[in-house]
Amino acid sequence: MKLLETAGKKADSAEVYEVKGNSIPVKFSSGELESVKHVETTGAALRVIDGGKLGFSTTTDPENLTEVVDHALETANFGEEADFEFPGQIDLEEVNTFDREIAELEANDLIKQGEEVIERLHQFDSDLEVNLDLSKSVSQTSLASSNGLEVDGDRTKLSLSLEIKKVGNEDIFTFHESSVGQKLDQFDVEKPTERAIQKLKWAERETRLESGSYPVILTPRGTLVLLVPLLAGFNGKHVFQGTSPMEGSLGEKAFAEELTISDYGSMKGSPTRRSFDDEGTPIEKVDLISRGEVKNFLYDLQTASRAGKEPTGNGLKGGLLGGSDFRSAPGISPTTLTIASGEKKFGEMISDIDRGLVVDQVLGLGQGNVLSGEFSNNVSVAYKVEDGAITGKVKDTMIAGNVYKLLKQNLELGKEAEWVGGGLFAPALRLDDVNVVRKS
Amino acid sequence: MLKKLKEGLRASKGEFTEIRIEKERRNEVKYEGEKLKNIDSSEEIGGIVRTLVQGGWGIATFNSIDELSKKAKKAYRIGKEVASSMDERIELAEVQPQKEEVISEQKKDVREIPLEEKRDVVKDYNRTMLDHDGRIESTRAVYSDSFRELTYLNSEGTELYQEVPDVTLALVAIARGEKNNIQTAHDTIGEASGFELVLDRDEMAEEVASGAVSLLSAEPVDGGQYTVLLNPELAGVFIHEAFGHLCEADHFYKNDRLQDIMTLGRQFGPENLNVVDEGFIEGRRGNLPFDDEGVRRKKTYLIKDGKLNSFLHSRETAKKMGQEPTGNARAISYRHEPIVRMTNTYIEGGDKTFEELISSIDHGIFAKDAYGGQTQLEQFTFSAGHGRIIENGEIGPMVRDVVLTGNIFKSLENITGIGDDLDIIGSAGGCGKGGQMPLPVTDGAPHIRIEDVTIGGR
Repeated sequence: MKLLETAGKKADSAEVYEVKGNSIPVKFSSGELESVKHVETTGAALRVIDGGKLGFSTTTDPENLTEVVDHALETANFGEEADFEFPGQIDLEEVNTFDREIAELEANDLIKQGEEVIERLHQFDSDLEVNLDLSKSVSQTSLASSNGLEVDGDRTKLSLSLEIKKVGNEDIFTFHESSVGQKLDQFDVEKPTERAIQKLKWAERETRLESGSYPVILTPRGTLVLLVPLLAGFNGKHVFQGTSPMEGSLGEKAFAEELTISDYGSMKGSPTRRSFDDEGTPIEKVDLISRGEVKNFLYDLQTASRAGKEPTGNGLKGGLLGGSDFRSAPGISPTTLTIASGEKKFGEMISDIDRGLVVDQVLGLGQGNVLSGEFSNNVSVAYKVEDGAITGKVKDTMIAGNVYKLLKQNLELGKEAEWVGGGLFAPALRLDDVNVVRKS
Repeated sequence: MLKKLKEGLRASKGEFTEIRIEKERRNEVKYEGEKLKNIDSSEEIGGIVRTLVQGGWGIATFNSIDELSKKAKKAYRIGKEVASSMDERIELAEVQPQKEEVISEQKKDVREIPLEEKRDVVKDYNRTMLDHDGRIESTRAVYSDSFRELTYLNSEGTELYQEVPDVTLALVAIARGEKNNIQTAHDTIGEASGFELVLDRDEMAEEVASGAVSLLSAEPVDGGQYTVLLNPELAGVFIHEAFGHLCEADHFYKNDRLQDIMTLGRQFGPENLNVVDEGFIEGRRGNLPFDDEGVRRKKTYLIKDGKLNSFLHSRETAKKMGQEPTGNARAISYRHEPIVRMTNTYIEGGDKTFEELISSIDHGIFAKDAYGGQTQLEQFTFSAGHGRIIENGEIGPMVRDVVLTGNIFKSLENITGIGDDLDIIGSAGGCGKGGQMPLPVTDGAPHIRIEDVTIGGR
């Protein structure tokens, strides 16, 4: 790698992240094929440590070495103090993240798949507006440092994203479904289609739940309402800075006994499985909460070093729901989050409730004071439960609470866990006493 | 460069072909707490070819801008495949071909300011926030600039070169009281201007820090229904979420049922409500005279005298609905095709003074500043930085965690007061849609009073 060689000579040490990728996104709007795109990406990110300071620059032209090296050195000149070193070579578990079957898919295969999904949904209800994006991507990522690190990964990904609209008389019901696979056999269009149809059936009737405090079941996707603020608190940087309520909570039973949450990006079966993060730290299982006890936080190299902790393999270019992008410097982010399942089937969880709510999707996720654990969201996909059965959708309804308080109280976890996007594997979760406000 | 692009255009046999090449130079300086967190100085080049072949879009995006003819041929080949699977041909509304060079002039050109000077400015504001009060636990101060050069050519003869400067400053202060009482306040500014924008902003830094400290003693708002007074920033987010998105024609150009709801002339708000999307206001973020299809941007009244007046269009949606293109096709970068987006969206000023608006509220919330918002078309949400309780026309104590929601069919008609103090606000964030985020937009409004707004709470 010429870039690393050149940068390594000019700076004390250097690290090069390089990506070459191509993807084919196919887009259907209102059930009709709209466009097919071929996306070619070439990019490199250079980090240097020079005089104890960190410099960063990216380029889309890795052949043009002078500029990117000069920029990185310029930023290092008065840059961030580097309290860590770029790692040397690491031993990695052999993890196959490439699938030939996905790599060989062509636009026509994607078009056919998209048409099938749309047809199934239209068989259920010809009136639905279905917007669908289906994309396959193949990328080669390599990471090397002047300290001897040299790792690479060929990765494939197939993803489906559905936006479904059902329009009635002054009533617009919109929701999302998705599926992600690294291997073709992981990629499942059945489940999101079935879930979509189930949601539409439950939403056929509109009902209302008066303001008050109720039990709320969050579907696997609905758990994001809690996870977004919670993860801000388990970000090692926030803990170190003193802006997380979890500061000083290691080893404490801060949550209900039923709650176990891990981050496990190299987990077998993860649709975004990977064996090392974007800084060359091996990815292993990190327990965040185990049976209610706070076990660990997420760290990248810099924060781990400053806080005197071990890096956890969470130095990533991208966020919880966002993809990887060579343009951003690595920061702390989960890889594959898992919430441990419980014993109850979803149907039993519903039948236990006399009066309550099932929440699947909300508006304004993360828009608020996430650090303190507060959430307050308008539900966009939610259903009323009455006498042990779902009786219809609700709207103009808000739920609010504090995750640190709610997850300490009575909890119940569902038996059936599901993939939400490619980065979360969770069951349904029941909370007691969530405040609901309904327009009167 | 022009020659290469023209060769590329000629290589495609589609009925319409466009090439957009983007060159970007950008810098970012970020402080977190006591520490400088990141300095980035980077460049990027890339392009997109989009071609319409027998009514189907073939698109190719790339970083290497060599061999444009090959890329155009590839887009053509893809387009042909698309066409074979299509029932209905996509067509584009006719527009006048445009030829123009738009050169940006800035007082203090960001390209000439040394990185160190940019670092020093952020460092000072960060220090100001940290030193403000012992309860400031951490901070975030982010400066960013970019200078983009966009070249756009299409097969109809449009040839455009546009320079787009962009400068933003975002300040965040995090204050901590007892264990779980962690409060955040922020403020951001952004403009298509030079470095001068971020100079002399000490007051902004002080206000952000004192805002976070004040929130420590604020109570969470009680959930319920309130009469609210929105400040211009929050009212701007309100109109963007409550109505702007619904006017984007790509949400309904193929949906007859939605078109039945969105009939032109339908009364959505009071007679004195006027809502505008103004395509080009010089100096505003993301503003340039032409959109990413080479169409001249214009001023569009979404609501006039309370009635739905017009939609926002790309050439494709305009043709399909038999209307005029409005110059609202925008892409966040060369990696994306343009889709229908807002630009500068605002509620026009009315006739009420701030005192008149507030004095008639017996019990309500004065909600200020914005964390953000989201819409699902019918229902929407927008969250305030903080609020103040209003009792008998007087402003009372501060409340926090104020998240407001509304319903498109009711919220606009519940507007009972429009201030005379229109303010259009450029911020550092942006709008997200269809996987394209953040797109620089501005929102604006005067102070607005709305009845029966639902606020969530514990």
